[in-house]
Amino acid sequence: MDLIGEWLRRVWYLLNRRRFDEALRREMDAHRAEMSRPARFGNALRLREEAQDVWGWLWLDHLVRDVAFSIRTLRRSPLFVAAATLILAVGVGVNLAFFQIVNAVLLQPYPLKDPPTLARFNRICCGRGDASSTITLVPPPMAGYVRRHSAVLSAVLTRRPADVDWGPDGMERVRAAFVSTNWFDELGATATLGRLFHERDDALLARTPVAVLSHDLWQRQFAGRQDAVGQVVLINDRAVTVIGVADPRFADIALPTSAAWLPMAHVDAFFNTGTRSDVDWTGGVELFGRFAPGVSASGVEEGLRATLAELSRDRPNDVRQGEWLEPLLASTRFMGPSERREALSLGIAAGSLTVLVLLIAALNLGNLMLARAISRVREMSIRSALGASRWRSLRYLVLEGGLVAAAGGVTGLGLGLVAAQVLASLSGAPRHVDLMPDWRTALVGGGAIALAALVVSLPAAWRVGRRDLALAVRDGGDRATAGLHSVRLRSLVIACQLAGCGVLLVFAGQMLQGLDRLRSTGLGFDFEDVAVLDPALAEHGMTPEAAFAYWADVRARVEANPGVASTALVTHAPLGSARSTLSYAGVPRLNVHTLSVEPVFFSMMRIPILSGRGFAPGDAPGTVTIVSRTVATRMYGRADVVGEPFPRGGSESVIVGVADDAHLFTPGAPNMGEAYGLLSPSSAANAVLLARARTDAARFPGLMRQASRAAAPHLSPETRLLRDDFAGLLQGPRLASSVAGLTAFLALALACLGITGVVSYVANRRTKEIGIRLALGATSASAVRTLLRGSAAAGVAGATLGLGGGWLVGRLFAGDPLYLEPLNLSPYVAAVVILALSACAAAIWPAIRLLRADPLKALRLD
Amino acid sequence: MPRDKGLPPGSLVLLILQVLSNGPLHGYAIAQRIAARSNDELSVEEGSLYPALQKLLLKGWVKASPAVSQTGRQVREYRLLPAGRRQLDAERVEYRRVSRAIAAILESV
Repeated sequence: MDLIGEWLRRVWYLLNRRRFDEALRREMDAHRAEMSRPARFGNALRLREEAQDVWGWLWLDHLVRDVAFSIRTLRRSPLFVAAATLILAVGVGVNLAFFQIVNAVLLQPYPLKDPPTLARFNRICCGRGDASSTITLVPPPMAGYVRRHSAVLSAVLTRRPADVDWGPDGMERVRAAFVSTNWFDELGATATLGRLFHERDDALLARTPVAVLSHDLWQRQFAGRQDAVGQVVLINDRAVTVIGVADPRFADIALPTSAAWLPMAHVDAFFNTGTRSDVDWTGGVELFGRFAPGVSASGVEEGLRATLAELSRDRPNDVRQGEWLEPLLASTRFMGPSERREALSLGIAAGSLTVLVLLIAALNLGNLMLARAISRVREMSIRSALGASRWRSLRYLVLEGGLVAAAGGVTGLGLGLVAAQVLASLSGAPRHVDLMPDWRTALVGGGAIALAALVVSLPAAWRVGRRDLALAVRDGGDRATAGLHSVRLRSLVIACQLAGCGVLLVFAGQMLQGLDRLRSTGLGFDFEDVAVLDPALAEHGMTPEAAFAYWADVRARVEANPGVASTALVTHAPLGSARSTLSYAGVPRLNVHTLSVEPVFFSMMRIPILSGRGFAPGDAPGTVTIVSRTVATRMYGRADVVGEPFPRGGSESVIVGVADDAHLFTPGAPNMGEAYGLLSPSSAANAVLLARARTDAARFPGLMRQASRAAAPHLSPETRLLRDDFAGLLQGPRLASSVAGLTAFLALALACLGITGVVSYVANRRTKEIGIRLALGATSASAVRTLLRGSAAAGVAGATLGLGGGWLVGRLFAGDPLYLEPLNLSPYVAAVVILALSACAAAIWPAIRLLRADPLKALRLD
Repeated sequence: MPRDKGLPPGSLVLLILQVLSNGPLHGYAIAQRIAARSNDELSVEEGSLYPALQKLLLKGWVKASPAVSQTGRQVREYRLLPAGRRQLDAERVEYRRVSRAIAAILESV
């Protein structure tokens, strides 16, 4: 209690210090005046300071005074401060922009109600042999069963994304989601305008088609008008009443976000299926659940295992034994533990590259601060002689470094936040991606500034602090600063900077190379001039027979066009988001994309058959498989596996051919293979149509759409060009490569500044020596060699280190999602050329200036 | 380093508290009172007095309030607070215990 009272009094004193100090001064004045011999009172200022020191705030006074002094000193060098601020702002800005993006997409939970008790469920199925597969959708009847029978969930939510036609002409495709009526309440959404739908509205919603619009769609279609609510719009040619607009910050869980939400009860009517999708075991919806109070994630997993086991006993044909639902929490952005670990480690690895930029910037500044400190050794020695402690003298240096770091850091924070916003808008991030700074941002920003302050201040304080300052008073500073002018430390700084630049340049080069690999023929198949028609027949409840007839009609119409070279049906369109991926317990780190295709698929996509044969007319679906080379070599250990059962150890299917690798779904991924089955008529409802043009497929989407409308007017199929899908896939890597390249060149520019600074410094120091050499007949070339001798060696060492670092980074990012190739030489060659040219350009200017100077003048100046 | 004439180390706080127990005094008066009560055997240097007074304020043993000295100057008067009185009692007991112990040692020799 006494201690608390004492601290309260200390704080009270601090808040009223001016008043208390003034009272003490008056009291001491009175004391001295009362004394018979006032001269014996002593130094009033010193006595007052000693008395004030009892309160424990004297250090603060000194600090404020020192800061004020440092600010005054810095104000005398505005150019230095501006350059230093800019250099550090770049370093801190790059780090903060990167962190803000990582923070927004990885660390922050989705902005939904109570994220720790909300999960999305993946269906984990046991397949043939030892394969297990993860399916992101569950059949609607399974979702219904879980809703009715599971005690571990207090609410079950379902969502089914679907593209719909908007408006009377039906020409605008809108990304919509059919959702359960508890969707908005359970996710904690609010309406900007009108209202949302709720579970209690079930009866009403079953009768009246309604829609809730996203903020963006409302702005686009209604120009933000208030009277949008109550308006009737046409969606898939059905009249729908707009009842409200969702808040723009409402996160719609998955990307891309929905533009409109409609009640799940209407999904069948909108797609004219004529069947009930809620009893369709071949359909799929996204399943989410809110945990019952007090139940943990593992409790939910166990509870749902039991529920699915019961369901499996009831419907063994639809639900295999051992199936389970894997909960992925909203608080971890619906990522599994290993997926999150991988993403975080990638984030940390990429973050350490941006820290390199900051280090390069801070090292540069540390070099400049050291030069300033050397020029002030004499001033510090005089302070020391007048009684200032060594620490007090050095504190000015540290404070100056700290102030410069703070100025650069704060500017960098602003710069980083703006850059993050720009990057987010360039990459088309949805509105709910929150890039506003939070406590993590403050922590990282503070850490970056502290690191910068340390690197900026320490070299000067360390080097000058070890000098005998008393010596400087006697000899004018010459002996005290002897050795401080040594180029060794500066060369070391250059080496570090070039090493950092080398790493960043090699990394950027590897990224660009990866992009180039994607852009060129590295995919293993030819996607140019191929269009896709995806009518989602299964979603429309079409039977396999009806689907078969539909495809026959559509193909006849499409192939009637002379521009069409060939068509093929497949279960999953290349480069699309829908895919089926299997992994096998006996073959670690191999994921196999499985798809069923028609025999013509291989020639149409120009995928060569390496051994064996393609599918033939007599083959029965389900009994023959063609595997890619990667699957053959990774699963069987050799390329020629024709005649082997697939998968290894299975008995249902035999391999008839080995195709060349084709990165159909994840371009650039090394651990991916393909297994092709023969498309069966029963899969017709799940198929999409590919059509290759003889010349240009640009007209094909319209043509295929017309063909589909003619065959089945109630369908509104999706059509697209594979090259557009590919361009979409490239968007992310392209942006990442640009950012990496920009970062590397920023770092290089900073390093060049450092090189220019060091060479100028050496040139200034050695003007006399080089003047004598030139006067004695030395050539310009030998003078330049003398000038650059130390720095050049350091530069070469740094660059070599950087290339090694680049190789390490390449290895680190050799996997998903960048797939860099650290053994490819071209990024290293490019980095060496760029580093050498930049370093020469940075060093040549001060060297030329030195050579142009009149040697005799230099000698006279001394 | 202030040198307080004849003042045993650590006794300044006790003496200040003691002279304040008879009523509030300002800094100069405290020094004078200590000198007078000790027949000029003890004198307090200003360099010790004011830090000690600040310490008493910090500990919450005395309270300072503006006043005017007999010569009409603006000063601060220090008034003993209940906590200060308790501290004075404690210091008195401690001082007597220590001086008795020292005396016992001296007499035994």
